[in-house]
Amino acid sequence: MDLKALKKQESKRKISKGYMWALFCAVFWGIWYLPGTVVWVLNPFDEMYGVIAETNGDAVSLVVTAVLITAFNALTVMLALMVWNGVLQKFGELGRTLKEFNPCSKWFFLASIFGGPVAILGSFMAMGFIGGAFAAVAALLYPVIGSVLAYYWYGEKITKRAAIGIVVIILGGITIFGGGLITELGAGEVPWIGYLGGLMAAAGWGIEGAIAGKGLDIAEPDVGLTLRFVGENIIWWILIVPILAIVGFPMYSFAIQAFEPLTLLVLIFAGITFGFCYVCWYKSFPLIGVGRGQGIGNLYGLCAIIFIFLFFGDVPQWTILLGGALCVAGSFIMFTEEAGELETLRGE
Amino acid sequence: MVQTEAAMEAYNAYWANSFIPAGDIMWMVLILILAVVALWQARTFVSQF
Repeated sequence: MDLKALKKQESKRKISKGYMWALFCAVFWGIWYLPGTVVWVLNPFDEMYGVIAETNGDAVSLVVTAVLITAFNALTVMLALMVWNGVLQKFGELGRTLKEFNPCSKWFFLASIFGGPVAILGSFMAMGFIGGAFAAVAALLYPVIGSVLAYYWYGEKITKRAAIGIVVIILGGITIFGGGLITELGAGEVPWIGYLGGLMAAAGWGIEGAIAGKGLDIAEPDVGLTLRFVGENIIWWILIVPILAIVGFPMYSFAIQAFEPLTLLVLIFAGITFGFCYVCWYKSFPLIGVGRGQGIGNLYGLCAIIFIFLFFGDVPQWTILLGGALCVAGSFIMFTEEAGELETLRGE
Repeated sequence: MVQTEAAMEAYNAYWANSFIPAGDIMWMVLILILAVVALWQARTFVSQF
């Protein structure tokens, strides 16, 4: 086999692995909705929600309870990533990358700011002040921001075919959540803070992806993501949770009560799914680019509907099935792209 | 804090209509299987690239 054929074969292998990781990301993200949903009804979070809602109203209570759940989620994600790095024997690499702050780890700490408090808090604000469907649709728009930023910042190529695929997947996602979105937006006066939350979610995850793409030029995805979650844990546990406690919310008393077997079990499974979803997301970026990785990752909407149907028994409406078909069509548009188009991910 | 009766009722209600037998356990089993497959793929990936 000549060098050219070998190069082509290697490129094909790289691309198929890239799509595989992006699909893993979508599956883990979709199944995360099971522990991510049921944890809200478990103690201490249901009691926390009730106690804060009595004094500060439902919307504030939702955001503050979400902060504590997200902080615990970040903690269990760290545990899952320690297992991941342990199995892959990456602890040495983790130490090396951590020490190299200026060229490497600064990108991942920066990514944690945009992915953590900006995107996740924004998503919960959109959910609390408008509704879950609006939050989901807003989040689906993140590949647009991610791919545009990656294009202008470091010249990541986005072919016409990939752009069409991303748009079709986003349209599919909007169709999936469209019914709920119309109901929520038609329910009355929508507070501007809800829209701000939606914008924060789309911009936060989009910017995180572009920053991660830059950091992954010189660092490994497995350790890069672990550092990103070190940063997110610092933000939640050393900054935001103490600030909320100082302001007067009962953060610590409820945090201690979370050490209950069933709550911990659900949080650990949330950590495994969220952590593995994120690490697969990061692993896809150097192989197929930020735009494609985020576009395929957006199939989480369809995966979530499937898992919720199977395990909660919620039968989807016809709009959801139509949206799902669009998501699959968008993915096929991207999968069937010529390997030669992806041989170089950056522009000339 | 132990789970209250209301919390357990709300938790069990989620799995009551599950199409998967023993859905309250099987979701965790499915996650563990997926996690093992992902780790196996990641190990293979490390050795290939």
